[in-house]
Amino acid sequence: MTAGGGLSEGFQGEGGTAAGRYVRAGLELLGLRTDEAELAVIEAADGLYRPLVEALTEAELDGIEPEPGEDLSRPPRRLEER
Amino acid sequence: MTEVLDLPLREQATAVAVGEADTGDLLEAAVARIAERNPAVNAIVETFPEQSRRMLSEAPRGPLFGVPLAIKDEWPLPWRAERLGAAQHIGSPTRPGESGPYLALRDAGAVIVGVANMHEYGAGSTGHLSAFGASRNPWDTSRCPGGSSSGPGAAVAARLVGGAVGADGVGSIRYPAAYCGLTGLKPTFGRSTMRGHHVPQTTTIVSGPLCRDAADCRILGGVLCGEVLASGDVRGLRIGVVRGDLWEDCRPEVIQACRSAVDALEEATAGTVREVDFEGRQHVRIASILIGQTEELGNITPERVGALGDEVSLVARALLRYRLLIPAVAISKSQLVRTLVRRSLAELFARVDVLAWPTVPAPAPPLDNPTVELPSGAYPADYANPRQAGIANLAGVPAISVPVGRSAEGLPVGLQLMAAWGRDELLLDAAEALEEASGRQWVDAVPPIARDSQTSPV
Repeated sequence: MTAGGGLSEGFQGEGGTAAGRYVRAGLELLGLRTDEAELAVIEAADGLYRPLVEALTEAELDGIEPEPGEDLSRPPRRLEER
Repeated sequence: MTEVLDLPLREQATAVAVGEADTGDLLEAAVARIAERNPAVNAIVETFPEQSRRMLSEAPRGPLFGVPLAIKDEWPLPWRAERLGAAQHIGSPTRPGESGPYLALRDAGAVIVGVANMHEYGAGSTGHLSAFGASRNPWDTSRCPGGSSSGPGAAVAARLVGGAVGADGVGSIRYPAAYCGLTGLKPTFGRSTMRGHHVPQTTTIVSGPLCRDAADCRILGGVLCGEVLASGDVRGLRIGVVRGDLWEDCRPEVIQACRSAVDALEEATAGTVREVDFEGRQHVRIASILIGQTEELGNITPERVGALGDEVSLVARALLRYRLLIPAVAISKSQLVRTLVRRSLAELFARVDVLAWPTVPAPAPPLDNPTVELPSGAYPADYANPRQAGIANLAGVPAISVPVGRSAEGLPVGLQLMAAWGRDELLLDAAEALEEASGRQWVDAVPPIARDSQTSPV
């Protein structure tokens, strides 16, 4: 991700968007000092990826047959094959 | 000896085996070629002639005896710790050692002649960021070579070496193969050696070959897998194409070249083409990114991220911070998507032998602005590319990128083929059928930077 650009209100100050507040507060909780240039990159990335993350988070994924003991070198086994 | 250096990997090995080429001369020619040509592409970040000569002096008469090769800056060598294209390491400390790819090459008789550049921390599909400076695409040195195996791709395309070892966690072998007009194989997960990798717990990354064509990938891939990747019968190939953005949200010249290639493959194999689909497709891009980007977080602390200095790129410093904020629910759901996709692909591969779509949606973007213009809009290439390639890493299946055309700007176009788990050989067979069907015009094409020593078609 290389999109940059200036800071928008979303990531500036206390009154920004929820995403901006989440990022700033999260970094603060982690004790990570983050300068404006870094925040601008994060904001650009967040603008691209947050919709995908939200769609994934909200997806109803009930009913997928689980794959305990997953072996990525082979096709998935059915539960009864365990 | 430079003419031997211009031969495909297998022909270099044959020239040595039959006594037409002297291994010492070949090594010195490779070192000289790198010194002469590498400044234009920045593919090789370090050579070590003394260690290379020692490797040669101790080399067994294996399948790659005396052949110079490059290895991505992702594995330790006995005389050098990997640097991952970064100025500062953020995970567990790295140290020199005998990595799996090193041992495989050594035991095959190959000579490692240089360490190849890579996208910083392996976290990009373009290769435009590296502590060593960007690698450059031999087809147009103002363009990205692809990443994260940027140096292996640029080195092979520029004819510095006949083959190179890359690594692929979210497409990192296939992107440079597509951008640089090479053939790149991402083996089935777990099939190729990963010993000594800095993310030993990975469920996505594999080592694999970047070469000029499928026959060379068969040899180098076989060395990395520790087994012969035998040729088979590809007649009656059942090809599946997935409609939707994988095909349609691509640049027109990419769509055209890849469609023509699928048609040619169908005809060459007396095969069939049918439209298919799989479940979970809408979440594959983010799921593959989230799993790939969080696997190594166990070795990272906020303190280590905070300690990164200005010698690390702004993008890396920022995105490493962002990675620490990924919601756990999204990572957990990515695992469910992985299961869904694996089950769906398993059913699909009972009906088709290979899936086909463009490796990347657009040819190599400029180094100074690595964005791509697609029908749906303009995006960073790093956002666009994982949609095409991430599924193979998510599911564990093998995939290959094969050069199938050229854009209006003269940049290579790659077609991606995927097959079921363990069917890596079938991909090589299909790639060879495709090469023959096109009269080898794309795999034998020589980029401008390498034409001065070549007489091959351009």
